[in-house]
Amino acid sequence: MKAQATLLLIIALFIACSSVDDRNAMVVSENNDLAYRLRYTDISASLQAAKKAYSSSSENPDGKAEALNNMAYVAYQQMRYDQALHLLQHVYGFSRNQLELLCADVLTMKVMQRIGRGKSFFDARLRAQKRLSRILSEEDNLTERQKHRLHYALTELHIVASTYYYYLGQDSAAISEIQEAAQHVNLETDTTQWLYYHYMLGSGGLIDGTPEEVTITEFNHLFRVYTLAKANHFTYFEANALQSLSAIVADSVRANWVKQQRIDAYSYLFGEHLRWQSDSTLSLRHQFAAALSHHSIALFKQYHDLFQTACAMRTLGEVYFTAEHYDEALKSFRKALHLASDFRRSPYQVTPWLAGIHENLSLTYSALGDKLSADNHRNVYLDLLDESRQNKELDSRKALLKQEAKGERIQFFLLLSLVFLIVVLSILYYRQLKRRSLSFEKQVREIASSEDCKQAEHQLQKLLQDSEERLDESREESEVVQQRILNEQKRHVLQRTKLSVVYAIIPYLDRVIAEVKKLDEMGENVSERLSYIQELCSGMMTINDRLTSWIQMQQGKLSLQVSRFPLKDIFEVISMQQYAFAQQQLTLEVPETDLLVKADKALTLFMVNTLVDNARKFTPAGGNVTILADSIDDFVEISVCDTGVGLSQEDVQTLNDSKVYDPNRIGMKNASKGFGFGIMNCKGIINSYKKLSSLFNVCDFGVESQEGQGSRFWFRLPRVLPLLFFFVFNFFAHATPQRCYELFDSTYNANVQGRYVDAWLYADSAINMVEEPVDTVLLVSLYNEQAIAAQALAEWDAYRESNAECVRLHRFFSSDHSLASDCQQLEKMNDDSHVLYVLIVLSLIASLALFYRVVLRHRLRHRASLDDLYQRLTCVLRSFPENAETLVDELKNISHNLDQPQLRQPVLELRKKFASSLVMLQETNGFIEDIDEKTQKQRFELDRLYVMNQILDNSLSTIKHETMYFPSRIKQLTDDMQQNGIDTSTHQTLLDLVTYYRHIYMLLYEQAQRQTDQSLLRLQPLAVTDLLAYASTTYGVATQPTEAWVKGDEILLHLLLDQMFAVVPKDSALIVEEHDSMTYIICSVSGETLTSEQLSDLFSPQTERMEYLVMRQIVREHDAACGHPGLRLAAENTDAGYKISFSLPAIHKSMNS
Amino acid sequence: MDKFKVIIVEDDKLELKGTQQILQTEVPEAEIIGTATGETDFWKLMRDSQPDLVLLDLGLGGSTTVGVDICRQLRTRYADMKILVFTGEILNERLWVEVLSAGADGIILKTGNLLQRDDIVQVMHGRHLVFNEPFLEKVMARFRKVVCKEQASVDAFVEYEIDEYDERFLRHLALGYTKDMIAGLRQMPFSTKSLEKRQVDLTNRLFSERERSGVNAVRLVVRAIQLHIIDPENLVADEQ
Repeated sequence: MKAQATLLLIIALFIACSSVDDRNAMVVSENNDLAYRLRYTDISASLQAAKKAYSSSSENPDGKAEALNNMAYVAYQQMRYDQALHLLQHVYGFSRNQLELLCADVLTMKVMQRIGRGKSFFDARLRAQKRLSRILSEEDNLTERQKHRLHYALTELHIVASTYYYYLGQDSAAISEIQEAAQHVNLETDTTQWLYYHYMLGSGGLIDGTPEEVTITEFNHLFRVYTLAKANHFTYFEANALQSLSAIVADSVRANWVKQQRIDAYSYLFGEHLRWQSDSTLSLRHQFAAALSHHSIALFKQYHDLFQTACAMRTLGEVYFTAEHYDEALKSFRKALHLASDFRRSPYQVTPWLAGIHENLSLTYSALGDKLSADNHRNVYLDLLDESRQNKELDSRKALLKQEAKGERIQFFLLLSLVFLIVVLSILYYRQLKRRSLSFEKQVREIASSEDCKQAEHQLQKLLQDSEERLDESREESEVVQQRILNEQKRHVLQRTKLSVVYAIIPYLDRVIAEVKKLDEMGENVSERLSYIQELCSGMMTINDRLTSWIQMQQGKLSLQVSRFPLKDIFEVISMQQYAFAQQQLTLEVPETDLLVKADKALTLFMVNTLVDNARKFTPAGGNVTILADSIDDFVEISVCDTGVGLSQEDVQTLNDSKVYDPNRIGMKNASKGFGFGIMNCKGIINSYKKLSSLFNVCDFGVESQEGQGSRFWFRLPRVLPLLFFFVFNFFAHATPQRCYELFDSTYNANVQGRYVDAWLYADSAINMVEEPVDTVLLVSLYNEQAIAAQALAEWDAYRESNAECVRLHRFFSSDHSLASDCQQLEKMNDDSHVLYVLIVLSLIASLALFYRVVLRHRLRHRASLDDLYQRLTCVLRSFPENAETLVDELKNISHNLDQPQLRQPVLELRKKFASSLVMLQETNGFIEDIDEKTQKQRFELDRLYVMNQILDNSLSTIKHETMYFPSRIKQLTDDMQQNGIDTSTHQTLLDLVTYYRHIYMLLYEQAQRQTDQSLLRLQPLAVTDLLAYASTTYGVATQPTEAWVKGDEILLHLLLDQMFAVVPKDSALIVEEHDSMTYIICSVSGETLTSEQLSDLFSPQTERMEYLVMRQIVREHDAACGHPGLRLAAENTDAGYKISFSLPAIHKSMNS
Repeated sequence: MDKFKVIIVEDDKLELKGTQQILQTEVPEAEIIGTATGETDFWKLMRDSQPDLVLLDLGLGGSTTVGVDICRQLRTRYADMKILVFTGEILNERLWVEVLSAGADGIILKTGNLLQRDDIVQVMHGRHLVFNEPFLEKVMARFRKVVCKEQASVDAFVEYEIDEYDERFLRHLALGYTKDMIAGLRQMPFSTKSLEKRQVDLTNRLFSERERSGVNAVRLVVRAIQLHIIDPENLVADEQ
């Protein structure tokens, strides 16, 4: 229960609190509404209500602001302008309520208009307008009360502005403002503003039309205001309406129009104010006007509005003035002036109004004849006019502009600072750039000692070293190859020699055949012939024996160059023939393989090549030749398959089984002649493998073929297992006619001297001469003098006209001529400063651009180029040694395209540093390349020679094996014949045998002959001395100096000498003789002689020493190469022993050449 | 035939024996006044007596072609002396030519039918160019080859319908003339353009359809040579 009670209490308190808040808000708004409503009825009550609202609004800033506005309004009505402004300042101080701030602005405008502070008026107006637009944009969100308040503010704003312009004489602006106000005035929603509006229209100057129409309309408005205000107790408007009506009634013309048209209202008013008529000295109409004024004064007094009371007093004075009761008028004016100035409860004066009252006084005194007082008041009037001149707007604008200018000065200063900062930063940046450039420059200068450079140098040195090593290797390799070629060449000469020995049998054989044939011719000499045949057979046998022993002697040296190698190497060479195949519309398919075999590489290439060549020859266009490499067990079977003509079974059998056969008989008819030689050689090679070692037992060769379908030739080899302003100043020149000033002086003097009529005339003529905009000051002065003259002459209409013009012009320009131009200038300054900003910014941009273009860009480019240079150099150095070949050119390009000539030196030095070494490296590499290329060629040559020699070995071996038996068989047969006589069959048997022998022998010889190459002989001019020197250094042979030159092959001649000194004693002497265009090199041996037997057989196949045959072969080849001049090689006994001489073609060449 | 004196120059004793036997048995008119196995021996003999006929072996000892020199010297010294050269160099055709230039009256190859009586008789009767059968066989083989080649040329002209302009065009192409140059020849009334057409036409004639792709002027000329249409040994430009 207790808890429930507590809860209820809390809720109750909460509700109470909120209801207190709500109630307070209500009190505030109610009091504010009351204060507003009582504003034009009872000013004191309004103040009280406002104060009450204020005191209750501690928690309600909006209400408080409204209350303060209301209080300020009261202060305004009571002429306590400072207090009003103070209160308003208070509103500005705390409130954020735009609506109340707008009301405050409007009230400020009212105050400023009253005290003639145009500038502040405009300040406030500007503020208000700004605020208004903000509020209007959110009008929809306003509550009804707020909307009401907005309408008040809007109407008040336009009415105040209209009032302001009205007092300034800017009727059109005033009219436009009041028309604006009309849009917001609504009798039903806000009576006070409606009254205010209609009062404004009635008070004059805001209506267009004929004077009569205007008067009637104004009267109507005023009357309406009067009646409504009276009915609703709006004392303020009632009094104001009466005051204005009084002014209309005072004017006889206007009063008559009203009387004529609104007699009802006029009568009503007249009747109503009979009791206010006090001065009977006046005419009835003037009495009526004064009564209205008196009533107004009474009402204002009741309403406690001092200013309006003074205004009403002035109106009364004007009534008296029009009634020409100048004393009464003066009394009233003085009373009014007294009221307005006595009640200066604030430092502010109602300047515009005071100006008016002083004019009234001036005129009154003038009328009374007190010229001095009149002039005094006129002066005060003019001074006050000056104060409240109409240039307030300009004033305000000037201040604003000044403020703007001040702000802009700050901005300008900031801008300058920014410029300065940018300049400083630019300089700093420039310096840094320079520093960096310098550091880059330094880097470039020191590139030669940079790490990259050292690295590159190191690399270069290493490369050089490697290169030299490689050069040495290449040289060594080349030498090895050369040596091997030399060996193979020598070996080839030996082979050819052997072959010549083989050939030596042929003549014997032919003689045998001839003899055998002759045996048929029965008759004598049979026995002789038979014995001759036997002799020939013995000769052949001797030759065979010599050859056999020689071949056997060298067999030990005979070895195949067995190595392990990838078959790929062979196939790559073979696949180079693809073009040749394509020419014949054949396809050559070479497999990819990584198989390794153990064999003689050159011979293997020869074999594959031979088989592929054969296949190409015997395969018709469109076919294809395929090479295969199959790994089977421990061997690799290399096959060459073709889609060619194929072989007959018979041929296949022959090729597979026979050791010796006629290659010309193999293959299809005449189309495929010569098929078998290659095959025979291949078989021979395979056989020599087999003979070499048991490792090669797997070696084999075979042919498979189907006639018309193609063939497959295969052989097997052992497999191995395998890795970037200006300002325009306008000077205005004024040229006012001198005559005007003279007239002005005359006018002034006339006025001073009291010649008012003259003054008036002078002024009038001068005015006509002056053109308004040209010299406004002069014009104002002329109008003023004219007004003074008119005033003195009491020509009130003329006075009013002149004065009005004077005031108008004065207001616009005279007293503050400078203001407009100040404003213009300020505005211009502002514009100019805007222009200036733009120009500063533009010039800043331009100078930055210029800075960039002239300095920075150059610097940046400089730096970039340095950076680029450095990078390029580094890049060049880093990419070493990949760019070894182009490095010097790259550095040369860099130095040629250098933007900084001062850096050329270090680049050149760097280049120099590398150039010589690189040239060396390139030279060395060039050497290596040359040597390697040469070696490559030599290798090819070597392989060719090697293969030839190898095949010749095989051939010779075959010849030896296959033919050895024949001579003895022939001999045997002839023996039989010798014993048993000759019969046809034995004779035929012998003939067949001999013929077959010759056939097979020639076949084998030709087979071998194909493998010889005499073009190997390279004839060149040789100094005989060099040959002798060779012999002397190699064998210590005594020689004689000679100037003879011969044509010959050095290698072979060295070999010849080698052979010679292999058979002759080393103490022999070499003599050179020359006759019959031949140079004889004679080796004279002393101490021993040769037998005639030896002499005759020395160079024959039957010779004991094969060296003689080699010598003979070399001389013979030289003879053939020289076109058979009949070179000699002979041996003969001398007195002291014997001599062996050989001749060479002599050439007449001096030693010097 | 009258009797005559012969000197046999032969280094191989067995062969000398054979030759002597042939002379003795078949040419009884021959009187062998001496034999020599070497050059020195021969000139010694020549000093003593001059033969009517010298049977000269080309190779003597180590000097395998000394016979050529001897023959030359003999012919210089003895214009009327008959010289018959023996040689076993049955494959060395060049040597034969050298021998004949040196002044030999004939060549007897040491193969097949060796020396015959007829050979001696003919030489002694003043006939030149006396060759034995094996030699003539070889010469005939060579002759046949040349004739066959010429025939092949005629056949090719017929088969490939080659006219004189084709031949001239191909020949000058082979000589390295450009088509513009060829068109400028007096006997070539063709423009460069039509020569180009001719080339295409020739390519079509000389190559089968399969072979034609990629055939240029060089291939065309080579083909013409292979077909004996133009003779590489007689490549002479026409007068301009």
